[in-house]
Amino acid sequence: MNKPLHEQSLKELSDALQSKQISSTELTESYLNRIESYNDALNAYTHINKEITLAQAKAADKTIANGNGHILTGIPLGHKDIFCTTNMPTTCSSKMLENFHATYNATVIERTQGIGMPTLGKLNMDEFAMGSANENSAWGRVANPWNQNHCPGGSSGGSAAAVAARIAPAATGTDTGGSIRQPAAFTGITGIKPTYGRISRYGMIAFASSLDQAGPMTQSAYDAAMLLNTMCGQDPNDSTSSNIAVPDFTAGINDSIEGVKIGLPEEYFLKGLDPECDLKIQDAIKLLQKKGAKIIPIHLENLKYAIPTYYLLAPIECASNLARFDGVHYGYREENISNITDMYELSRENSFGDEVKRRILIGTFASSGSYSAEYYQKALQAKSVIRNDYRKAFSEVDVILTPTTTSTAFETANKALTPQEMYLSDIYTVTVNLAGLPAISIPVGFAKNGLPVGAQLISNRFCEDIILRIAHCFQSETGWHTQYSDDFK
Amino acid sequence: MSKLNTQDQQICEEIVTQIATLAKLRLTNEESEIYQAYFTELLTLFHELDTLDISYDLISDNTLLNADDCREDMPSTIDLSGIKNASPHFNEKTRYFDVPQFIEYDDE
Repeated sequence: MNKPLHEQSLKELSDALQSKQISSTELTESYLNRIESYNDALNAYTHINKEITLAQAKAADKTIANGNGHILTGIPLGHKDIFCTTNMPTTCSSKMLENFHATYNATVIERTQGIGMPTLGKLNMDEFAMGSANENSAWGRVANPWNQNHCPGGSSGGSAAAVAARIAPAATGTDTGGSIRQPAAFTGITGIKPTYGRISRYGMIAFASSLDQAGPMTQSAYDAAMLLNTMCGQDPNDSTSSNIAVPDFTAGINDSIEGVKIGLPEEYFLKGLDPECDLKIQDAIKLLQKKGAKIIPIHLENLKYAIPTYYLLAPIECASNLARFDGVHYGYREENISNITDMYELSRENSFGDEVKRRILIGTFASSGSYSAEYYQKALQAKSVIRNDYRKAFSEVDVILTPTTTSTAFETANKALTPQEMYLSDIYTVTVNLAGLPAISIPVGFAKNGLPVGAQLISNRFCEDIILRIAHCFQSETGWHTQYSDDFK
Repeated sequence: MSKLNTQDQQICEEIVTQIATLAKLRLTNEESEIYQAYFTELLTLFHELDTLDISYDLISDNTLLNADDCREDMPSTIDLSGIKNASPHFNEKTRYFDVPQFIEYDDE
């Protein structure tokens, strides 16, 4: 074996495990050692339990030895700390859920552990998945492996940093407005948000239920396809999970992209996009053209409504979802209180972070009194208008290519960015959630500051296969996705 | 909620306090001032939707393709064994969650 274990793809690790060149215990131990060496620099993991993880690896070895293994059995996985787990705490990176142990496993956890993928640990995130820099965590900020003075993006920043530093072979994330794709772009990894309904949300702590979706964060598109095969599928515990058949996402991934029509929306390449990012994306477009894709200019003219729409709908759902955290049934409860109002208000006030409180207040504000009729209904109409834009676009093209982010990763504690400016940086990702579409972010190069640049591929609902095929084609021709920082070698 | 109306482009302290009460959050005076300015700014952002053209028919996009596809509705026994881990306030004796008394009696 030439490559060290942590540089190997899921496919390579799977081959090594199935052919018994390595055991799951060896593989898992090697990752736990890397976590021990590098996690302090990144703060990617918030909870690890070697005993539990190694017991799961041992069980996976037995399964493989008995010939009952799945293709991913024995490969350890990091989980965003938003997924409920019974044997490790589930905190959503909030003081509100400090030491909270769920009474059941999320479906994503059941499915991955069910095929024998040991859990490496729980990964840091922006509190309750609200943020774009992973600076809103009660357990401290996460650093970007490429430059530790920069953020890894958010909210799945811990997952992105762990995969980018090769202290997890892959990880789970969630995406409500770009929380998988933006950190994937900022750290130079691959991250896919599948169609809304593809993956069960059962046991995934809700932020904005009509927009939240889980997905894999991996080194490559092929790895993402392998994980999607396990994570997707209808779940009787989530009535919004789709009953549409789940294909084998790896089956057609090597097919040619000759003749595939890729739309470039003019509105995504105007002012606001960093010229260096633009340049790298243009290079990627040229490569895809060389591989036979047809590039077609298109318009998504209602992009301008994306931010007000998202920042009305998401906080309104957030305020409703987070109302359950009142100190009664679980979570933080303020001590020494004499009445129920104090208990509610002080428990929430003293355990939620600033960004969570801000979004709860925006949501309560926008859904109160006549504001609700005036703004919420308008936002719902805008959501339909944005969906219609995409519907029209997909009658002309198969896939849409855009930048994932307006720039490379922000500097840590970038005081120059107000919350509104930070929200505006989500402009390229939020429409995908509003329309419920699948989208993938892949690394397409590095800017002069040494930070990765990401491109986003969007397809029609339940057509993840085509964006995976294009991403895999691109990654077969380039090596951006195989690079990781020298600091972690 | 008559005080909350969309014509108010300037958010007053009273509205912020009212919103915080609804959200079960307690704001300091300083925070309250920040949110006054913040909400006023947000209204400008929300008003960007005023130019939205909804004159044409919108096709509703039904996300729920399987709305009738619910799991079987079967009574089941709830396993309470893990709840003690989830909440230190669960009272095994009463099988309720303990909270401060919220009804005050005359003789107290």
